[in-house]
Amino acid sequence: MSAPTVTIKDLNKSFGQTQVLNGIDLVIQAARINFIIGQSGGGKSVLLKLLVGLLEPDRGEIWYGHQQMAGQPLKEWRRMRLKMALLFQEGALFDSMSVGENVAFPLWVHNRAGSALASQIARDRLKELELASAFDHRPSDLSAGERKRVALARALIMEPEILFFDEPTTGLDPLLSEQVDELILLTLERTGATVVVVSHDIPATLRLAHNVSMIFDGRIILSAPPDDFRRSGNPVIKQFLAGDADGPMGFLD
Amino acid sequence: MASPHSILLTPIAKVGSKTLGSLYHLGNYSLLVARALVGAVVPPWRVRGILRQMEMVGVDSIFVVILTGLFTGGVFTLQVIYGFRMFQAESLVGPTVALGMCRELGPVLTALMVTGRVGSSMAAELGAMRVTEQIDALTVMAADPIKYLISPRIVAGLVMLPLLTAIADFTGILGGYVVAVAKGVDAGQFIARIQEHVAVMDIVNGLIKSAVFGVILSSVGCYKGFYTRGGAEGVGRATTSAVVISYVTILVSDFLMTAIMF
Repeated sequence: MSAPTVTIKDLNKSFGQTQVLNGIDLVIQAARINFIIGQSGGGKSVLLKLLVGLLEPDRGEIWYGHQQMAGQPLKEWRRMRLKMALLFQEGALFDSMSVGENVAFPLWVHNRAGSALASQIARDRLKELELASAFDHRPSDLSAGERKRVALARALIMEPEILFFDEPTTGLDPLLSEQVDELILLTLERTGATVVVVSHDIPATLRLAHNVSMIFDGRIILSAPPDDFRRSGNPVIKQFLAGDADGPMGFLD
Repeated sequence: MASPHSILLTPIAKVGSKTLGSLYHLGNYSLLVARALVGAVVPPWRVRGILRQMEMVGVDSIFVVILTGLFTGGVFTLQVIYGFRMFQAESLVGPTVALGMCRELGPVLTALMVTGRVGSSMAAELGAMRVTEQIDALTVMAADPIKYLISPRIVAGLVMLPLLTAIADFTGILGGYVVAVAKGVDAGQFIARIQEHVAVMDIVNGLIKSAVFGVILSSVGCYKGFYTRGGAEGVGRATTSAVVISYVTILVSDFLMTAIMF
């Protein structure tokens, strides 16, 4: 499977009485940067977790190329996960390991390389991201931006066909956000992977995305290129793009 | 105002809900332990990870276990001498202390001390990993978090508790010997009576108990940490809960095993 198209059909997810996703239909374009945006608590992270199999949907289908994954057993998900990677919001680096060990970990745990070779590959990856000097440090010694870069190095080391970013610029200053945006572009350039970014960073979305999909009220209300998004007359989209507290999206919804 | 119907049924519903909740956790816990044991047996074996855990469980607990054994043996001997002197049975102090340490006090107190030290730390570590998404990261990397995180910890508990218990037994008897001799018990008698009355199975059964306790403390700590919810507060609750549940389970299982073995 080269960089896949991901097709989501009628995906539903609830937690107790709360219906979070209410029939998501979406096509994530292969080898493109796809942004999924929406207000906080709107279900973006839930959708992401469904896409990587951390949650199971109540109903619906998730197609990776020609393979339907929703409701598949763990063995199938493990096979699929070898082709994907997820950059968590806070990086999710392993505190008990050094930076080098973190980056080499996927190679080591899947017996793709012995310790020495895995370390060398990790070193090379970190060098590409200008973090070679951090190899022996602990994640807690690094800045937020550096941790994101290490997490990206770890995500890329298995050469995934699809790469997910979970709110990559949340909590970062504008300079660091810019760096992360560059990393997203670099990822596509280097790997040709399908890139999915869950975000509520509007400037980055409009600048980087090939396609933008917005979740509101548990559904996708528009999935289109950034220019079509800007021109949309939908009041929800207009309110979100303007960052306006007044509008159909209640402030304390 | 609550109806008579709900006044009667609400407490019953609460008991029912608690019972169902406990059964759910028991089932979930059993599945986790089964998966971890399978993960420990099926290759690939992460030997370095297992050795690291064994160092944390065993080597780092030696000092506290030695102290526990020494003072437990000593204080037990003080109490026993007082009673036995009433019947001129001081010569039986040695075997009483040895049997008490090997069958009961050694395994149980070692397990309780290690639970407080290691069981809580396992719950805290895995709980912190859970709330910072490190366990999710392992899952998304197609690694088995149970095999990678929990199997080595359970193996470490299973292997190291009997070794620590043996140390506690020895230091307990040593502590008892020192106190007994200081209180006027004949040193030769102390040792000779132990050899007469303490059988190999007394020691072996104690070590079997300690292996079971090792699995309990490590698996309960791992279970509570692995399924932590609710941020830092959740980690704190998981840690406390792991220790309390381990303590109670160890004491109950000790009673059951003692009834069967001795």
